[in-house]
Amino acid sequence: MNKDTYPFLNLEGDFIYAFVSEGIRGKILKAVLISPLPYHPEKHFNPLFNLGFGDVVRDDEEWTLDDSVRSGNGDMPKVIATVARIAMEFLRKHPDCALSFQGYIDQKSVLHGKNHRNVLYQRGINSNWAELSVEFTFWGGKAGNFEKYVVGNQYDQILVKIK
Amino acid sequence: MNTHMEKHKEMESEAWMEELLKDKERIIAAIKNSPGLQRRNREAAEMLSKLKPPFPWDDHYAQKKD
Repeated sequence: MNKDTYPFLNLEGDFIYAFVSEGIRGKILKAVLISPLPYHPEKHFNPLFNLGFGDVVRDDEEWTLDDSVRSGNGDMPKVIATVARIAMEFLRKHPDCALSFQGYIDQKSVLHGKNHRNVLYQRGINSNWAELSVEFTFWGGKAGNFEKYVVGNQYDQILVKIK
Repeated sequence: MNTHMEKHKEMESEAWMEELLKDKERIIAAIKNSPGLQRRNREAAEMLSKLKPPFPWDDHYAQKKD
């Protein structure tokens, strides 16, 4: 995936990463958290992690991470490509792990009947499918049902694992 | 020219992040304790816990065993 991405830092273990988005609203600190999900041996995935990300902001003296914001920094494709690069690096380092990720449903998403961030994730996957599908296996979930990822279908949740 | 400008921008961003990361421990705590991310983890776990076989990844794991 030869997309333009931001350089990122690994803050803790292989589970917390940070990078700086730079766009029309200036510099915004972004963080990615990869968290373990409960183990269900009968469902094969062991271990399974969930990927989430958002903006790290300082309000007075308090730091918070807001994963529901639209930063409006004009660089969403580059941000998503950076998150994808982090996910790929994690999966290469941990080939037995699978990653789950989903976007968020905000007002605009509801209005358009789409999960906006997932649309961007999927646009990234679909436009790089020839390359990604050689190294990774994807599954897509909608309304609680998963299938092997089909380019063009829209999903609420995506699972990915190295082949 | 562009590459030079991009490199400069990148260095500026790195310096900016380094400055912020003086507060690294508190930033890490904020990330880990983010209610939004915790809620999303719960939702993902819940969705996966409800799945019933056959799973679309059975083939993948069967092939790995072989």
